[in-house]
Amino acid sequence: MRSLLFIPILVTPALADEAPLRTVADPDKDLLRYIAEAEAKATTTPETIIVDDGPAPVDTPSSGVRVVTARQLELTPHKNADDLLRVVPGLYMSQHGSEGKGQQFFLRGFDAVHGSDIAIRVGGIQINELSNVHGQGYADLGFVIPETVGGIVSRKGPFDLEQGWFATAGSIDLDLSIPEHRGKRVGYELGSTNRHRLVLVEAPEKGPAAEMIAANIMHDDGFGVGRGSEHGSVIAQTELRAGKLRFRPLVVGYWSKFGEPGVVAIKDINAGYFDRFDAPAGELGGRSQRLLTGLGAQYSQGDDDVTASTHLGWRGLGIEENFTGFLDSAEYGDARRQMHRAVTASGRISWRHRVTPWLRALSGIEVVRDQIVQAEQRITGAGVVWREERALSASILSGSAWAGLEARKGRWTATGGARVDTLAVTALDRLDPMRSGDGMASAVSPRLAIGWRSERATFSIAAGRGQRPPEARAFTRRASRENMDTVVYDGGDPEVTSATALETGGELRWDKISTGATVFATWIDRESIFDHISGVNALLDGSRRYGVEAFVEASPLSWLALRGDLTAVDARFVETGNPIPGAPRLLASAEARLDLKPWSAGLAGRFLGPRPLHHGATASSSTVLDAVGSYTRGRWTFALQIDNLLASSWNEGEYHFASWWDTSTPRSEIPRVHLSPGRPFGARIGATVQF
Amino acid sequence: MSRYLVLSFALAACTSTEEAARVDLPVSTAGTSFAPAATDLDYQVSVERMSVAVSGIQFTIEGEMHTGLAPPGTVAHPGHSAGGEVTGELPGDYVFQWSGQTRPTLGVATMIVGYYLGANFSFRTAVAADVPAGDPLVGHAIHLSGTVSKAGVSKPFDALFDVEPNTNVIGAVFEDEINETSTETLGFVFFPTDPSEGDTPFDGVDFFTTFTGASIEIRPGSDTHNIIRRAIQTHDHYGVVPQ
Repeated sequence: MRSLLFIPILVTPALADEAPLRTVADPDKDLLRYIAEAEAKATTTPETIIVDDGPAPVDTPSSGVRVVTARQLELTPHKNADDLLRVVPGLYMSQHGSEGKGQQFFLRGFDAVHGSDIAIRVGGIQINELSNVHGQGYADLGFVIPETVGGIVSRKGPFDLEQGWFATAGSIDLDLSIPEHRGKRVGYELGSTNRHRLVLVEAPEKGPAAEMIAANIMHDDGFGVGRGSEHGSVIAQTELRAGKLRFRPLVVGYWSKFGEPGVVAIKDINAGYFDRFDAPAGELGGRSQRLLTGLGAQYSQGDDDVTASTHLGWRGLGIEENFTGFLDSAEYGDARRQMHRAVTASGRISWRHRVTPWLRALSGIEVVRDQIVQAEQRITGAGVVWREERALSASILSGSAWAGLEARKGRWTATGGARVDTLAVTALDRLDPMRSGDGMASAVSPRLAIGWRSERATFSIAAGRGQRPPEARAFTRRASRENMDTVVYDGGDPEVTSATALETGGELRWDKISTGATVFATWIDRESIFDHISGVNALLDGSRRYGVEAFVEASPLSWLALRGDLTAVDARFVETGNPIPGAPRLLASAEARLDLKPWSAGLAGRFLGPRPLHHGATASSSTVLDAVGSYTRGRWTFALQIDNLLASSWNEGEYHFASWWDTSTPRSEIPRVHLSPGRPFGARIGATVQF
Repeated sequence: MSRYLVLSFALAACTSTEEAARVDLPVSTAGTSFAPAATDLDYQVSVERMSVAVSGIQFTIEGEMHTGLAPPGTVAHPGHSAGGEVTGELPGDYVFQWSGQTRPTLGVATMIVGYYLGANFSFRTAVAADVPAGDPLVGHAIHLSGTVSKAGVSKPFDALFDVEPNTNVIGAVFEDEINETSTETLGFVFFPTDPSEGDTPFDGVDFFTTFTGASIEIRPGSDTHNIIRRAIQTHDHYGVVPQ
């Protein structure tokens, strides 16, 4: 049976009264459908949309949600899947390596490093890695082929029951589907940095949007020195039906190689020792690999909706980098090599039962098993190991369960409940087996969201708690300190870091314009981190983040869509009042999309305000404008993408720490500002032929 | 409209990177005399002269480490190993000398402004260029001299200590708010008695039983040397006083 849904004229993602504001609780099941609805709503004429039957998505009212459709993503300037995330309002990403290394994320006053505070799922599978050697929650999206992303749903804050580990600042779901341009496609892109990218897509015209095989291979010299990268990936997915059961098998293969240029101290640039595009770390770099299989399933019968998914994956990451020169070792240099291998298996089931016409019971469980092997070595610039710093094997078992209720009555919607997340770790220290250890950590997260909507307005208020798990190495025993005074702090037990969040906001909609604002606050009582330098679990003082987000969207013409948003956050440690280093205080973005077939174009601009760094230093502000344009004639589409249209000299990352590269100068441990340069002006041209 | 948008962005993008504010402050040794230390065996140890060969003087802020929730029995302290962040330094080799007289400035430290809570330095072996000819410190790291008294009996003592290379004092007591207008001198002090716990480096040494002669001479290799060295190289007995 198919259900009919009438969609009136509106501006994406403003939603009509008939279609309540939705966040997607189970992306593996609901995301595609939700995005299909949102995309349909972006059209400019009334029409009837046929939506596949399936369970109704959970409706968690939250104003910190944005849904971006495949067409909107296509008109967003990008050269990889990472860039697609720039559509998430208030999200700032910084690349301090080169394409292929995970981005550093900043959201709602969090420095989420490589993913420690943003839960990212692709095709319903969590990408954040428990205990990656390079950073807790490391999220590597390099394997995602941009053409296979059918939509993005971002949810800021931990207000949805199904947001698990790492969703302390929020979560992002990327749907793997190709709702448009079905058929065979071959595309080639040539860029000004000697970038060559070939993409092949097979998406059967009459198949479901999820059915596809896509492959791409890329080489790029990168800008400056030491930023070259190469990668290849394959994504295959289909959808099978057996009665009321729907299955979505997925297979992914990925390999990449990338440079790790390091970052440059501004004092070294001023002294003429380095150029801003230099690579102090020389030829160091990394490799990343992934093999992944997944199977999602959906079943609906009467009052019950059940979704389930499982996946099995293998992951490899090797990184060689040097950010501090010869500061730690004047003899050998400070380069280090990190190696990480993981086999991950997961299973997840979500059950929704309609108790009354207006009340549903929500419940689910998720289990993740990780087997990891990791090592860290100090190496010379030539790659010779001179000290082993870490050799760890660990088994990680993560279990989560959630239960709650969803009520819809008239204009009101409410969801509430709680989830429990537990982590059990057995860590074998292969360098010092006496330090091997095990333990558990768990946390309870209550969540409540209430929303009200009318035809022209939406209002919501939500409260919840998100959790960041400790990494496996935190479960090893403390280092021997027999030669030190007994009152020296030698670390505490590993703990879950809990973030309590509150937000309220609303949205107003007219025929061609909508606007909204959200006020949010997040508190962390104490933050548990594993200090890799001293080898102890350390507690940071509490922190709090107060902020506001606002957006305006307009569609003044049938072929033109505009959007602007602004996020302002005051993020500080409570005890000292110091700002949280790196967290943007002000971030604004503007988007313009022109869709006048056969022409289409997109402009995306970002303004990043001055950011506080450690110890009172301040990072520069920046403005970057990227553009994409395309022309389609028959089976051919020709595209031009321009990075940094204003040719701004901007810094993508800035950091405050000590380094010592010019060894002819006196060694100093006093921190200085280092920068990772942003993309200079560049262009890429591409041609795609559709069969 | 696009033109105004671009212009707005361009105007907004006018701030550049700012390094942390910093100030240069002189460093010296402080204090003209030491109060006698009362040991657990009821000796009174009066240190009259002390010399310590050091290198790599650093000053640290606490950072954002949570100190109030340290596990029972432990006390968080600033320093590289426990949350302290180095934001001030006086690189190079120096000799701390306390001899009852105000000492000249050792050098000028560069300090990032902030609230300081600790100081670090490394012990080293003194060389001839560090001190006047004939100074017993040469070849050693620490030299102490003074008087040991008990029950009305006093004996002079002279002690030399060798310290293993790369032995560091992490977290010497130093509390000072330093801003861009600060002009104070950072004076290193030695505490014969730990001001927080009341212990002394000489605890456990029965001087008059071990040394039956008219004077006490402590030299590397002896048990007494090792007992005192173990305590005298800890951060508890050093501090920095703004002057």
